[in-house]
Amino acid sequence: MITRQNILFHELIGLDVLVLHALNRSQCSIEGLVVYETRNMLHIRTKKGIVKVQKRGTTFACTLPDGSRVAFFGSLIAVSPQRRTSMRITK
Amino acid sequence: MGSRNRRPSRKNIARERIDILFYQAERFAAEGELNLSDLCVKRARQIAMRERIRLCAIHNRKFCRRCCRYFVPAKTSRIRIYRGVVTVTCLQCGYQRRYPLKKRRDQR
Repeated sequence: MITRQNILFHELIGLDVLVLHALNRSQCSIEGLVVYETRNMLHIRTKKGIVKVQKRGTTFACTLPDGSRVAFFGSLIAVSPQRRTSMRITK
Repeated sequence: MGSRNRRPSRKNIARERIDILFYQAERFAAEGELNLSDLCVKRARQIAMRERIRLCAIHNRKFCRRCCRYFVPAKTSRIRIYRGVVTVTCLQCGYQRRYPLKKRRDQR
């Protein structure tokens, strides 16, 4: 189950995401469904179409399946998606 | 031993991710976006290989082994039964996979 604790290691495809802050200002407050993910980008489906948002330097707010919202820095998940499960986060 | 058992939930998370990816692939296919469901299948296989997990039989039959095409019967795959063998053909690359209907004698 996706929780607040394991969101960084879990699957993002299928979650609703809001961009809280981005280096590219025109991408701030983009909201939509995560459709695909690469090492550096999240592909978000919005009303206007699929938008690619850079992970590094961006703050995302994810809506979990239980309805709660979690915010996290995109730099923490700037790893290739299959490696994310086994990555270690150094504090 | 400590380092080996540091994160026992790692494989569980990977299994959950694979389940989610196949669920999403089904959803994308229902919406008609088959390219996205192919990408989901590819990602699920990559996670399984990385974490050394076997895909369960239900998931394993849902895509083409050669080109990772997600199978929607009659749309991307053809299923035929002939002489006790189920043949699944990928309509993208033509790869055929055969499954016996009866179990082998030693598996009964």
